[in-house]
Amino acid sequence: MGFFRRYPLFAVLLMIFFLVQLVPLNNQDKLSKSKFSKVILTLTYYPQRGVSVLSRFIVRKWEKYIDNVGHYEENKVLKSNIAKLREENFRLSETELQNKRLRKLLNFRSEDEYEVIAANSIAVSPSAIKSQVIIIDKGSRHGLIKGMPVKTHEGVVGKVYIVGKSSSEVLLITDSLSAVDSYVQRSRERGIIKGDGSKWCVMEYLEKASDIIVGDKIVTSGKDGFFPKGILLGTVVEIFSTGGNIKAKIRPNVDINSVEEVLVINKEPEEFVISEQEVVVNE
Amino acid sequence: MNKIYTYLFFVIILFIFVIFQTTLFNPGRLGRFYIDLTLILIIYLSLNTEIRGGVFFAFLSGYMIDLFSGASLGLYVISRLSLFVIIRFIVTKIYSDRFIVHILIIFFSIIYEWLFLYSLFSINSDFNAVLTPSFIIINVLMNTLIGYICFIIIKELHGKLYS
Repeated sequence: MGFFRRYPLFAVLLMIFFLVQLVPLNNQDKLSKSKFSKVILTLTYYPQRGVSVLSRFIVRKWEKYIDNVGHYEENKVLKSNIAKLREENFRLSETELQNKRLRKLLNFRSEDEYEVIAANSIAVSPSAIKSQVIIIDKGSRHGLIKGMPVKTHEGVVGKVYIVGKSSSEVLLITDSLSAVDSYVQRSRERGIIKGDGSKWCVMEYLEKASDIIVGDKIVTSGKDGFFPKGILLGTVVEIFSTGGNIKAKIRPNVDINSVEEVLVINKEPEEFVISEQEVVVNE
Repeated sequence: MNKIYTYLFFVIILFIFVIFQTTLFNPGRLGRFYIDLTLILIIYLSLNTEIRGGVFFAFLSGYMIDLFSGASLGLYVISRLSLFVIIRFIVTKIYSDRFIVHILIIFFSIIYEWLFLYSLFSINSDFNAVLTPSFIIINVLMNTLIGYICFIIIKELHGKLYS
């Protein structure tokens, strides 16, 4: 005790060390349910949106200026590409129509049945350590609720975590708390995609004999109650074994760091639907 | 000067810093650099304000960073409050109103913040982000430089408010 009396700073540091052990890193519910959090999200919405729109406008003007260099040559290449794409587009729309007819015939559910809400990313996480979060410019007044899946045309981005009045926080699939039930598109092997806290994901709970190779595409299975079936998640870049299972390192299809426009899928998480049904039953 | 004006002044500064930190100074724009402006505000407050106000702002700043980073409630709150307490303790032992002391306090505070969060995540969760010593050093130096400029700006504005 004499040591701590002589050096009280050590006593303070020791107390802090024990105090931080009480912080539950995997429990985010308190923060997401707090009304104060929603007030702060609402208060910062307009300034964040203003700064975001202004900076994006300046960056786009600058990029437009830079893009003008060598415009003519690029234009010629693009025109020939457009002709090819038109032809491909025609074939694809024919296939899509056929696909829809067949799905209807087989009574399949597809992600198209859900409406989407377009949103812009207006801010990102200010933390150096915990950075797998973006803020979008849509909130409860646009119909968003906690747990709604978020994607781009390239694939899954994450899910809505805190909903403010006009803005919401989206937890990205690369966050260590994120988990998405998924399939290997080619072999239909099932696993759970978890974020690793940086820019990668890991597919877990794969059996050792699973048919999975580097380059395989991973899609959502639709069985976790959050994400609709069949949305692209990423590509397998590495496979490694851990104990009796194997894991696969996944590169997300969406460039998480530069995501700007996103689509929120208007799908209520199934756990909420169940709880509402239970309420009705209880009443 | 009226205490309410002082509080209002620091609330506005805090909100501006949080907005800048979440929009302009994010890693998407700055590569792998993380500029922590709110931390500089807490350092300034721990050197220049009374304890109750400082504790309030340390809490609010930590809460806002926790909120926008999707972290658990309390992670940044504890980090900011503990930093505030440590700096308050240190300034009772040294003469702090010197340029070099300010620089050193900013430098070591940023190191403390990084090590605090990094060690906590390493112990408690599946945190796999690659943080090399060179990455931390570059960020600490960058933050010290920008942090000191912000420190001077806050000091000037605070001084003008007083006069």
